[in-house]
Amino acid sequence: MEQYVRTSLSDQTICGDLLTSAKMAVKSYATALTEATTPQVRDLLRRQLDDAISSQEKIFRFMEKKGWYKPFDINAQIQMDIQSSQKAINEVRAYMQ
Amino acid sequence: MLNTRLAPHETLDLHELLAAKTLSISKSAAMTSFVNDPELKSIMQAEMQTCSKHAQDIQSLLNQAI
Repeated sequence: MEQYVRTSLSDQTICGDLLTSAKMAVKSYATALTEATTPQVRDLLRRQLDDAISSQEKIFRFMEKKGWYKPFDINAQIQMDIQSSQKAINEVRAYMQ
Repeated sequence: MLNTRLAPHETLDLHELLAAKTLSISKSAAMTSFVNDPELKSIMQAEMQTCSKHAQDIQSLLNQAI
């Protein structure tokens, strides 16, 4: 029987996941594009890469506005990272008990 | 549809991209129900539409390869 069931995700967690995927998408498109030969494939990759770049920026700007990213305050950023990392670890510990 | 053959490595790259797209569409669809912020919700809905369009375009290229 499950003792601890996670029934929700915070907006910040969801956004973090979206941002990771968006960053990964830009890299995958760029890599595929530099290896493509067929003009149709290159065109498609180029258009979708452009969309992927815009989408990553949109998600990042939203997170920055929310205060979930502090690009100009590295100390605050690191503190936030450590806190959320610890929170995630504690949730796993609670689950494992 | 144009009858263009894709190079084997292009087919593989497109397969990887399509698999990633599919996953992110399904994940976003499931996760939007947890979202509280209306702005985030609308960003995610717009993203899902873009991703669906991308997935369809990749599908039609891949159809030429098989």
